[in-house]
Amino acid sequence: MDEIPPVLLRILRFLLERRMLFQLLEPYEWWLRRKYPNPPLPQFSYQVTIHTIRNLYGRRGKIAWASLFFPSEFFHAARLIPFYPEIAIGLVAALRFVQTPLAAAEKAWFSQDLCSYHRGGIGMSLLRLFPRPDFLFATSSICHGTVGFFEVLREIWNVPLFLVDVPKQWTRDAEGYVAEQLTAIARHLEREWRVHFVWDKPFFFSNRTREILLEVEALRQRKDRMLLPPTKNLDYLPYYYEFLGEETSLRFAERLKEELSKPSKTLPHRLIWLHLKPFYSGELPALLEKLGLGVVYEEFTTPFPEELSPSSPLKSLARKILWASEILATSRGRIPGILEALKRYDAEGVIQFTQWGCRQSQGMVMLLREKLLEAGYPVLFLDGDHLDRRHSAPEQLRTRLEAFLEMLEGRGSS
Amino acid sequence: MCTLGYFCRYVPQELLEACGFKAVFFKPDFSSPQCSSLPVPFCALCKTFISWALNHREFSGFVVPLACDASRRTYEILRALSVPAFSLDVPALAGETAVERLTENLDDLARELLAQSGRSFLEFTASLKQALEETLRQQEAFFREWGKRRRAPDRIPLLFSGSHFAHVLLPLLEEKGFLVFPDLPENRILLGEEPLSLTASPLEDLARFTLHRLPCPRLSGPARRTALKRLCGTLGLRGVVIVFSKFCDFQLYEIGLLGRSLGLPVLCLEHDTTPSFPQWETRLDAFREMILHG
Repeated sequence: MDEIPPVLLRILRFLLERRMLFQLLEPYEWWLRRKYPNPPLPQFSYQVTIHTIRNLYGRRGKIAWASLFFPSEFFHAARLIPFYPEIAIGLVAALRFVQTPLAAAEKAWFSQDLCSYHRGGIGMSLLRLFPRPDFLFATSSICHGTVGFFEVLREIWNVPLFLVDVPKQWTRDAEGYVAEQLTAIARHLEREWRVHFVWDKPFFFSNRTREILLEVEALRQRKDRMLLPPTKNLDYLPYYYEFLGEETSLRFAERLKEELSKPSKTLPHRLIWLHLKPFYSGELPALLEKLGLGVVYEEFTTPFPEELSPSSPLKSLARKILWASEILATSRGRIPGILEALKRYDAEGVIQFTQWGCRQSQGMVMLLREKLLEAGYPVLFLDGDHLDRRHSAPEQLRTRLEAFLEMLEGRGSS
Repeated sequence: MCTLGYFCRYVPQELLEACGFKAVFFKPDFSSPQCSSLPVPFCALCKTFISWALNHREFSGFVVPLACDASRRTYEILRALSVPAFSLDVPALAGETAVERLTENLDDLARELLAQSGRSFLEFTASLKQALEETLRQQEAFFREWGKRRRAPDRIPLLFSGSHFAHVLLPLLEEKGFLVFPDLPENRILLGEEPLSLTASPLEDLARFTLHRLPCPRLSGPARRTALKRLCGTLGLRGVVIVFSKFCDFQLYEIGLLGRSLGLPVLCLEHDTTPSFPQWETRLDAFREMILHG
């Protein structure tokens, strides 16, 4: 499925540009809702996907593309439709279609050494398969590659780019600086594009979702329940980012809590998962499950620890942006956070699937390994690519996971 | 005098010297050793800089700009290895907000360095003012020199862009009959713009001066591409050679962008810090033929 003939691509592009075609999904959505009045999580996710496709390709509003750590509440408050290309490309990979956009980007001189989330987004844009943006929003928060990625998107789509520069240290002064930039962007949107911000509803949904996700975290700390297959929670990333601030995420969180409300099958080993995972195949989660390596916490699904305040919305969002940068992209914030999570979840060790093109995580491997081993926790760094299967080596992966398992079991018996 | 090492043009030499230090700019070549504890897909320049810093423990410290993911990590790694390191956060924006922000960050760095050197802030300010005046004089000299260089009709003028390792290729390019215009921040003045004048606030002047220069690939927005396009037009350049290290994201993004926007033949020479001179020679010969004969 990875290689798509050009004629099929043209047909696909033709269909994706027909807005009316996607309006036809409305009766289908209605029928799904009637058939499954209280859908389980997979059916719920399916319905959300259909609805999102109708919103985006049916162009039911202005579309704002955003980098992963630009808070979605900003867009929901402005009644813009958020689209996170770094998340969407994961879905494209899961549909086994990602090699085509990756090849398109490489053909346009974007090297294989760049982050494949970004390269894939560039490829989907060059092929005009992602929905056309009206605006682009990015932060320099956790990775500077994002800035380059969004500059390329601006060039391809020829639409305004709003870039928020995020200082590398979280100080009161930095909060003011980020909040000022957000204010300037909001004012520009109000003035030039007649966008009107209403914060109460998205902040209510975001705060309520956060409360339930904290309950989910508490449930995951219990030894008699586990989300399976391991790393499954990373498939739900859109609910933690794109839909946060609308009812969808709240309903998801309620379902997730419901799923964890009763004791369930568990695996013998409790681990923490860092960074993301390969989305192009289910081989890795299946292997982890087979080896009894359960995942109880993923750093990318950690909810923001504070409530968002509708009385100072942009300051709240500035704090959220700086928090993400601090806990994911600085060793002084990330490493203590991981050590604390290891204790809180009573986890035995850590696995990171290090993305080939991710400079910020590659650069932290040395520091992370040293600090975790010093604290007595085994750590496994798997190398590869989350999207580009050309960098995958399944047998090597198996060998390394088996060796890690032996190490964990050796520690348990000693 | 105490010495500080640095590797990026965002770290202003004027500031380090005005704080009372001798500033040593790190200029690696293909034989520089690299810190081997870091993974393969990580910036070669930062790997070599870390190794250089570890081999120069006699320095008072190293100033690292927080300008990209690799430099951010470099700063953290040096600190973790107990190497004295000072950071300078560089905004990812241009414009007045960025000038204001960079001024504050330069002020923080200066105070940190002054605490080490024992020099007073007043003394520092006076010294910085002098250093900036000297920089402006050097810019004029630069302008005159490049004016002379342009008068070499028998050579093919081209823009030469690339990171730190690129300077090693300059002799080869000259040997192949090219007239090389390196992609330098100072090129801004070749575009015929008035040089910045100094004000009563030397730190703000320094920030403005740093951000006003021709943007580097880090700020790969339209401003840089427009400036480079104008530069190519003004100097009558006929091609672009980009030398880049494998894992430098800014260069990697820029290649795609420049290829799309400059409208000139572009030759990309990639390296992983191991030189490929015979291969590069062949490619440069072919590039020369392409420019001369279409």
